[in-house]
Amino acid sequence: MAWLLFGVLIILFLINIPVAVALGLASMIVLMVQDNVPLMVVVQKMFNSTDSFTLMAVPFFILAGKLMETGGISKRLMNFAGSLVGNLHGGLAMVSIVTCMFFAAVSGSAAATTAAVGSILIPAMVKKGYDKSFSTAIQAAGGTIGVMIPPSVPLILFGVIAGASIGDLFIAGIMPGIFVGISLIIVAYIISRKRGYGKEEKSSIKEIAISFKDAILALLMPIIILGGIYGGIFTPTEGSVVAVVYGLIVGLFIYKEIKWKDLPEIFISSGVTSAVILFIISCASIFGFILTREQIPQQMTDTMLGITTNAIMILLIMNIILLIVGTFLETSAAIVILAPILVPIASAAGIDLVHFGVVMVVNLAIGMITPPVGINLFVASNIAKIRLEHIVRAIVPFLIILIVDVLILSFMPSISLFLLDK
Amino acid sequence: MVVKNVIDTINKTVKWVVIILFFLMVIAVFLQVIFRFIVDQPLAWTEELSRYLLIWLTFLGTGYGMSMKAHPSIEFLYEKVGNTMKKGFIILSTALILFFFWQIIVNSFEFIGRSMTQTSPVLQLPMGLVYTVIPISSVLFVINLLQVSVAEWRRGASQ
Repeated sequence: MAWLLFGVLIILFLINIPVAVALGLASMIVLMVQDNVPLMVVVQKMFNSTDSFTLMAVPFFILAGKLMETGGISKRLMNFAGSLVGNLHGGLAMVSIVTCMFFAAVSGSAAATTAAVGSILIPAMVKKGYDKSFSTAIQAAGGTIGVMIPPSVPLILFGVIAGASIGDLFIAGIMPGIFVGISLIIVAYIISRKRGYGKEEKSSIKEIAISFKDAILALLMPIIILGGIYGGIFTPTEGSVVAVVYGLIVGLFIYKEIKWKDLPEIFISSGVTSAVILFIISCASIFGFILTREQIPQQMTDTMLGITTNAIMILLIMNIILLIVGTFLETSAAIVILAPILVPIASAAGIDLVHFGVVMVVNLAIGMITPPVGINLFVASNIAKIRLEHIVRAIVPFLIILIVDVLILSFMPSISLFLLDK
Repeated sequence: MVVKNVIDTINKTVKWVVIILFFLMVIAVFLQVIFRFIVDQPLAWTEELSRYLLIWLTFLGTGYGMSMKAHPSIEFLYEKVGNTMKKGFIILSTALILFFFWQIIVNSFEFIGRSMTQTSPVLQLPMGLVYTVIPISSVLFVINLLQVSVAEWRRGASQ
């Protein structure tokens, strides 16, 4: 049955059926072949899996990110980042990554981070004489931090599927996000230095203070949300709605960059983005049901432990699987398909669940900057109006450093876990 | 032309329904936060209502999203094959997706029928009513799928 399930799934994927429908249909076909399960169970599973208060954090964080993107927050974050690192070699390249790190703290998505920061910084970099493909590549790479630094939609999905605490996963994502950000800055610095990209003017303390004051409302938000969630004041879902209301107030009344008439567009585009992700979850629940019934995760665990019981080897093998899958499967789909299979293996090998969640998300984020389905590449090349083929070469150094990063993060659990006192 | 106008009107209506549901969801959960912390009187209905709003948002958004091809698929083989193969893919995938939603619709009626007498714990809504979003959205998905597939087919034919 496992072969039938995966065989049908791959065929459906290849003939261009949407990932969600392919998951549902492959599972439905298996149930029909088995002939002893009423198909009503499909409808029931699809319904029950979305009937979840925890999952509501997904649409809210997506909406909050969209509000921040439209509400003038990215511009202010950029100015603040500029006053901090603009005077280094390749100043604007540094600025774009630091801005991505700031923006990641208000947004849960990598594509949104790339779009928000890239739409300002790619044109700015090109104007200052930076190579267009380099400017686009750096933005696509920087955007991956969006899913590492909390809030993070993929971490929420992992938490829901693996039964891990979303609050813990969020905290565990902070240091890896900063770590990846710094590594990207180093690569961008080396490249800029070699190509002789210029520096921006050094900001005086006074200018830093002014840009900080301008950006403070944006910088304060993650502190309120994460502090609230981790301090046990509210649940991640309640925190996400606070983020929405915060974004609305700042965008509508303080920065005044969102007009009332913009709101329907913001709501519908966030609504559709969320529905697409939640529909994948919904269809994947039938898939998960069959995996469990057929005891596929246990069989996979036994097979894996038969090959090796060494946790480092197991983590390495899983990393390779994730890297490959991440290149052709969209992140939320990869999580809902792979987490039910890999999590039991990880726990059998004694790997911490929260640590594994972070490794999985960082690893799949690499898939966002690799063709054929690198969402960040699409977003960034759309903004820059440059063909995808032309950034592929410029992305290679960033791809290499991200792979090195994910290996370091895998084998040094303390980077993700030390903020949790584990 | 008439068909296209009807489909556009349906999608436009659904779009506004999704916007309103999403907005109500924000209000419901925010009220929950306010009433627990500021008024110190937790509300009983907000969690249940917001969960049902999320379900409706998810399924209606799924059907509406099909009109703009928002659902990710693995396109690399489709993009590599020639025109005749492409058409074969379109027919096969459309037929299979139709089959999927047909099964969902048929089975959801049975599911809804069984749960009409069952009511939700706080709001006392018949659960069958909440479940009706599944067949409604499935029909919407199918309508949009057919329109998108026909457009893809024609684009292939004109190349």
